[in-house]
Amino acid sequence: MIYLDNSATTMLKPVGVAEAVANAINESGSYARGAYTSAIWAGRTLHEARKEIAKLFNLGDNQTVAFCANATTALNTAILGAIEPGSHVITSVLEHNAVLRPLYRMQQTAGISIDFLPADDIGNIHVEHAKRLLRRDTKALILTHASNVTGNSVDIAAFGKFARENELLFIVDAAQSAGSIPIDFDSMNADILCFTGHKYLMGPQGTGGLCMKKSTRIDPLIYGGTGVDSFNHDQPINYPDRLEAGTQNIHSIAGLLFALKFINETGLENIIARKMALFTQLYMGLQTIDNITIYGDIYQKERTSTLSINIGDMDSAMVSDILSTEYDICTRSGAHCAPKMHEALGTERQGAVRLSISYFNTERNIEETINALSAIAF
Amino acid sequence: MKEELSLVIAFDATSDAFAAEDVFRQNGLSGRLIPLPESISAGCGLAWRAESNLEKELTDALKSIDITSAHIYYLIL
Repeated sequence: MIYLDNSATTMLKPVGVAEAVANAINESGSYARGAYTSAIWAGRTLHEARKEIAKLFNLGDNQTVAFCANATTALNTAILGAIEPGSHVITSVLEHNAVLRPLYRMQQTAGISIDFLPADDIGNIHVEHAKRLLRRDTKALILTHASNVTGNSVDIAAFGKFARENELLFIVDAAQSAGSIPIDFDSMNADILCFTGHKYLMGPQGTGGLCMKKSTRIDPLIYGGTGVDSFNHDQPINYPDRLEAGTQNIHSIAGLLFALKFINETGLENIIARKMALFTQLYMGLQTIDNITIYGDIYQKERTSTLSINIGDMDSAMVSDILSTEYDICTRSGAHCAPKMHEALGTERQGAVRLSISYFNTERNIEETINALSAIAF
Repeated sequence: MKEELSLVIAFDATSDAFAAEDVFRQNGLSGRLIPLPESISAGCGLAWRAESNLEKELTDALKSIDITSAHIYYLIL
């Protein structure tokens, strides 16, 4: 099998991740539920994972990580818990439904209004458009760091500066960029950065979180036990504890911790270089094939290793199915939960075939994929 | 079991308790995490128990990682 749906989840993890999960199942008690050996083991594991995230994303003083189940949970927490009811919010057409649907929900229930930054022909957004959308009641800017369809990155530094100058809450969706593009939380002027652990951080599913300044006020999405201050009717006031109700997924976080150490020890720059070499191989092979349309800004300096294509007017689902059934190549077709991105690209009816490359793919994988797509396109 | 005077540091957040343990260990300061004594606060939590003469070293270590939510007690435990 050739697995090229890493933007959905990475299947090949660093050797040792699965063992770390298995070990945690045998060793870990419940975080913050006691001072006995296995509960302390859980706490140390969570603390070490916070430190590795802080190192990878360059968290500064008074910034922390709250863990949760995935990027969707993190984004719901950030959007539903930090955006002011009745305010105006700027987001973009690049966004995933993990951003769009909580915003639509707030539109219905909390009276917010939403404007979308448009994308240009190659799927990029520009800060000049944000300036035009700014209103007196604009309170928040929510942007993905990288499109899950085109792999294009967003100039987060420029948008962060815009957000800071206009005192906007800035929420960044790093579901695709974490592990694919360097993240410097301390300097990007974001208030909240949401990530998942199971995509390009190469950890287990069921892991994700929010990086935030401890001073950022976020109402919890989940209320319940935290292991402290049990007679208080509210959640503890301190972050990250305020956002970590319920039993934490220490088993999977132990796997994520192993994966984070792998990334930090291997060097993110080396991981990116490897993935982009494979991406370039794929692009160079596909761009010579007649009848294949490639979407996105391929020559961006920083982007992810995701490439979306179509073959003529073929239904993307059929192309993906042929790749699976005849070549054992795993890809994602359809709209990728990013409806506005596809509307912007004009692919809302055809969808697109998304090929997303991980650190553990090989040159041979890419060569066979090019050959398969060439045969289908012929 | 012999009772003795202990220094106990209570934390407002469990995440702070583990950050504190980490920095205490790095600085070679003895002690361990214990369940928060009910005499300090009812309702769960973790605390750091150490020898009673270590207050300065422990508080200096906490300052180095910007933990300000720690409360120091002396208890016969």
